[in-house]
Amino acid sequence: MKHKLMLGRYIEGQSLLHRLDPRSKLASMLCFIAAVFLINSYVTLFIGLVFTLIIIVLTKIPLSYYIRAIKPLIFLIAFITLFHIFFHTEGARMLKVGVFSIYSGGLEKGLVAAGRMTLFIAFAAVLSFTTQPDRIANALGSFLRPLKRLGVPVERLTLMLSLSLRFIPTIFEEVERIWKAQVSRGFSLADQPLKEKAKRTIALLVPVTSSAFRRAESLADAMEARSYRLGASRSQYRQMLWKRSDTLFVLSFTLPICLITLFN
Amino acid sequence: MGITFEQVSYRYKERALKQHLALDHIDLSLKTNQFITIVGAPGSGKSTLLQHLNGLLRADHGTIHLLDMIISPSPAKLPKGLNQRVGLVFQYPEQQLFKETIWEDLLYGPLNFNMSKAEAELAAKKAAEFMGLDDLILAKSPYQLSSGQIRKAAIAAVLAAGPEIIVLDEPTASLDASSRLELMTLLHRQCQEQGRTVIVVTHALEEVAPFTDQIIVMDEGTIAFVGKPHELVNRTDLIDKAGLQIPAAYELYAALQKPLRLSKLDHYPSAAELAAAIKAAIS
Amino acid sequence: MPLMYNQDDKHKPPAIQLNNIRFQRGSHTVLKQLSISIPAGQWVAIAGCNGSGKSTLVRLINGLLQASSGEIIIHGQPLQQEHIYDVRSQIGYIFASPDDQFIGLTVRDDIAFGLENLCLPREQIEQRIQTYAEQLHLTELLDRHPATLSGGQKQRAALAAVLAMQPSVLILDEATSMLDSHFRDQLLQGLQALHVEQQLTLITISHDIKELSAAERLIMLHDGVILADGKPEDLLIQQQLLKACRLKAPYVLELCQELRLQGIDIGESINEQEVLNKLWALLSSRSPIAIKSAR
Repeated sequence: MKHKLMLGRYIEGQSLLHRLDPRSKLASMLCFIAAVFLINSYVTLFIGLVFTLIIIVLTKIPLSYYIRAIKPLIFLIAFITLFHIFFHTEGARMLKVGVFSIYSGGLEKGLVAAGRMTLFIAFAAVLSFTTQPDRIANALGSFLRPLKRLGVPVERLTLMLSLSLRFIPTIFEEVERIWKAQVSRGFSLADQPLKEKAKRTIALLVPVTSSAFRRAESLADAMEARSYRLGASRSQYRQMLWKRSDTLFVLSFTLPICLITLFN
Repeated sequence: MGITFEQVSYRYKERALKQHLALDHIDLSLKTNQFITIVGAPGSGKSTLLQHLNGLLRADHGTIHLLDMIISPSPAKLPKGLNQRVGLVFQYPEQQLFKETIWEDLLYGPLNFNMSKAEAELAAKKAAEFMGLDDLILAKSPYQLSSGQIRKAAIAAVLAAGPEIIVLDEPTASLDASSRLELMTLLHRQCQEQGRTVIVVTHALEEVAPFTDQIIVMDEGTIAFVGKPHELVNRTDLIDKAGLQIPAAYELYAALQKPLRLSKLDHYPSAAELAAAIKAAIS
Repeated sequence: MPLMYNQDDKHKPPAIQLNNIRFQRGSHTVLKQLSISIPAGQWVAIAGCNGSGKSTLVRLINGLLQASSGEIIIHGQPLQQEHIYDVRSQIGYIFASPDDQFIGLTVRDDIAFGLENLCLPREQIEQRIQTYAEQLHLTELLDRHPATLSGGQKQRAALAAVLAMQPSVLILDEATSMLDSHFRDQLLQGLQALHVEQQLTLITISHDIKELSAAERLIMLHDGVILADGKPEDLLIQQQLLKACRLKAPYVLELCQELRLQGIDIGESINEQEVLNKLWALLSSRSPIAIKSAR
């Protein structure tokens, strides 16, 4: 099951993007989102596309992987495109299909919206392909640290995040196992009304949930047994080194922001 | 009627990195109404084989004959009632219990397979009795039972649906020694008294040797051995590769065979039998 | 009458001392007035049926549970809640479930976890990771996610992670119960080596006769009290004790008992070679020709 999900996977490599500090990648993602939000025309979309392609090339990961990451969301993208096409009536009328008319303005809006969505997903893919999940978690943790003063339980959140990352594949496997066990006992969702389907899904959810609780208790014991103490100071094995290349990388995003604003 | 695999092959689709065959042109022919054990190193294909027996996995090539049913590769449809006639019990089956009481869980399978309420209750009662689960236990929630009890309950839940073949993956895992023996004895009785075919995957040769009629050794997706346990003990290459240990009964018998001029083994020598043989040889 | 183990080193402070321990869970008294003294470097096995209190007992030692009354003394220091974290670094604990004690995202991170808790500097953590990964043959697996590892590999990782903290006491709570006999043997050999080389105090809970007999001392619990305390080879031949702990008499022991029924008395043993030797002795004394062992 999990193997079908491309987005969210880490792909080994030694490219420039792989070697960047996860914090710079996370920070640059924010800049990227800002840039993409400003896109509102074919020209600005083109600028965004070129910039994204440069980054993709820098990851040294084949384009086919990115396409596979986008594929599951193709319906969403298509829906957004069609929505814009049929509901915007600016510009010259291009086509008339029965009651519906397609205008050039609507087409542009639709394609631009689709393009923006695609760029978002592509950049998310860049981030996940080149950064191991726990590094993303560490980066998030370090960004949130100043919030500690406001009473935000940063350590707890970081712990929750890394444990989730550790256990997601394991829990996926367990769900699969329990599903198979129940199917072997005649469990079936086929040809059932929605209400019944929901009721029957309990046959899967109850065992998975209770096992998750049991697991949490055992984990807590195991962590305590290894001298873990929430809130106590700990050293850090994994280090994040912010290098010059990281600063340059984040700063490079000012280029598309400026260009897009210019051509807006 | 029996269990036959004809050139069955299967490759896991998702693991693109490992293109090896999980099942490599398997040919197998087994009689029903037997206690069959499948052993092998992790990754040898045991789990994969089991899941082909009730249609959870579909072979890429080859045909499987189970009793009077034929399972062909997709897009052929699975024979009707396969799930019910071949009961599959995974490792740690108690993890699948989800109803509030054990009794309700015993009814779950039969009701899913469209048995009437009366039939289901009768079947559940029989299964519970066989596994030694009294009314007190049946009224409890799964969280209130001991590990041995809950394991029996989970297996009873599969038995209640009335399968002709019951397949169990490491049924004694994590149980204490007495519970293991108890469970094996019950499974053996299922075979002897109820005429069910019992197929067990295990690595604990010691506990299964007194009960099993046939042993199948799997190795890297192929069948490396089919035969009786006492025939397997001479195959040290297979035993080592599968990570097994020769049961003490066979080792002791082998050590004493020549000096005491004991007859060649054709079944599992119980302690009583061996003691009698030693007595006879000495007197 | 419970058999008492003779302490030879009476002048050395025991590694672990439990005095009149009582543990209450709700209305149920799990452990009743238990007193045990474990000298440093001893390998103690603990057996008992589920509910006898064995898991509770060992969890009192590393402070995962608190006794209702009585005192626990570790290396001469009474166990108190304030010092619990210091004590825990000296007492390693391996649980039964390979998955539920694997904390890190990779083997490397899992070993680092405990060391980070001890506030060790990065270089020292790296050193220990390399050393213990090598010792437990995990070097190629260091960067793997646990979902790609087998149960045995995960348990090895747990061992590496705990041993890297360099404890003086190692508790194994049914560490092999979820794994196959191959891993069980591997672990036993490893423990034997550890016990000899590092003089680690070992406490192993098990249902397996082989594992129990590998220890120097066996404590059998039943219903919260000590049923027996002595050498494994002396205790494991007693039918009532085996039954009380829901252990299965090994084949060779059954053979001895059956032979006795047949009128041949070679005593009782769980050691196969010993039994064979006795049978040879018996045979050669009865036959003019000395019969050599076939093994």
